Amino acid sequence: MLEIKNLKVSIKNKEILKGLNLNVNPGEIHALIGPNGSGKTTLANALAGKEECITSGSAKLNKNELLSMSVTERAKAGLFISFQVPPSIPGITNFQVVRCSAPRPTNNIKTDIPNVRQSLTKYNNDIETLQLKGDWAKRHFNDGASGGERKKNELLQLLQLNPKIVILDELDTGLDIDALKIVLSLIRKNQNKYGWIIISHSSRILKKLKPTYVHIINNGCIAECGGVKLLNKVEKEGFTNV
Amino acid sequence: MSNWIVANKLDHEIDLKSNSVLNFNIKENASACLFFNSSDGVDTATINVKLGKNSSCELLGFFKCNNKNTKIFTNIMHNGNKSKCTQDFRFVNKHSTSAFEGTITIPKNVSKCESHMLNKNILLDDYSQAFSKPELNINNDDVICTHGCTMGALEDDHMFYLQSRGFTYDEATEMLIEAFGDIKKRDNNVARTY
Repeated sequence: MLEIKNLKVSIKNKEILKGLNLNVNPGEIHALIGPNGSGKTTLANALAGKEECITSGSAKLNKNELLSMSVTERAKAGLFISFQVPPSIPGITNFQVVRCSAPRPTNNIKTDIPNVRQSLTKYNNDIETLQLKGDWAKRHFNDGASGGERKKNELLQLLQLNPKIVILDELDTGLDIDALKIVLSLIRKNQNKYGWIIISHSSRILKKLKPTYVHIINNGCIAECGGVKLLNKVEKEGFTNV
Repeated sequence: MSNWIVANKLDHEIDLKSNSVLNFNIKENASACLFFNSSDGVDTATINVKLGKNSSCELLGFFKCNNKNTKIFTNIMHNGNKSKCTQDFRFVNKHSTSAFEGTITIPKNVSKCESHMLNKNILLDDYSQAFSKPELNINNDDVICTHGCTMGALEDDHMFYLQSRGFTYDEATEMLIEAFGDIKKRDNNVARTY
């Protein structure tokens, strides 16, 4: 579904990714690990379409070239990225940010209101599952929210937006043990719906997720690819021998 | 020219017209919350406020200036002890120039007053300009006074984030402008959070 071929990304004339290849199919979990500064987050940002990332190569989602699309088009094509540091946006409510997921407002109030109500009901149910505070929908986007709440909010949006490819950039940082349990079970529950790329430094959490593939990214390309066993190897030896 | 006398409490939204002069006289112990905007653009408007003893006044303004220059003057006169005033005026400029000139006057014989002035501006393109001129004429030492001003574009991070959630560039811009101008709601939100 997602085919990344020879992806090169440079930021401010510095090449960060130097020809990365990756294929992700629905139901697969790809764990992406690697030392700090190896280009994991750059991959997520480049796919999302961050302006500072100058890309070459190709990244196709269902045979459509993502790299030539705008940020909005990529999102609409089915790419969802949970960012490492989600911003807080005062003045916009949490629910407003996922309003896009509901059918577009038409001028027909009769058909419009049930749609909004339906998506709000689902939203509120998911808020409960994620154990966020009751008035979350009305609160300003991540305003005064803790690191963990922000990460939960990313997952909450994921559940509303129903994408095809999900990239979670260090979703686990900031989450407490109970929150992690909820998040892991939600990922497992939705595993077959999406294709997953999960960036994390915690091999303990990755092991629990039982990824289909584990990729070690080093120096801008995928240095080694394997199964869960690769995690054990890295745990023992670190990234020095990669 | 219009004159308002506030004897107890006033909460009002005012659509400013061009070249208008508004005078508010807030009497002793009275309070007013005034929200100014302008549906079809305003070139110059002047807001004069006189504050009596123990009175309070909140002035909020939000102006979307589209191809039209806007100039707002405010004159706050603290005539009574313990009078309070908060000003928050915000402008969004698209191909236009905005100017905000605010004067706060506290005479020597009036004390324990509190007066705050804030002016925030968003410039949507390189052709736009914003001018801000605070004038604080404070003659008494026993007061609390602040003034502040910000100018800049919409935040890139916020724009990028909203677009990554499927909003178009124009939708994201519109959302962030509305959020910027949502002064009233923001206050409600603060009240609810704490």
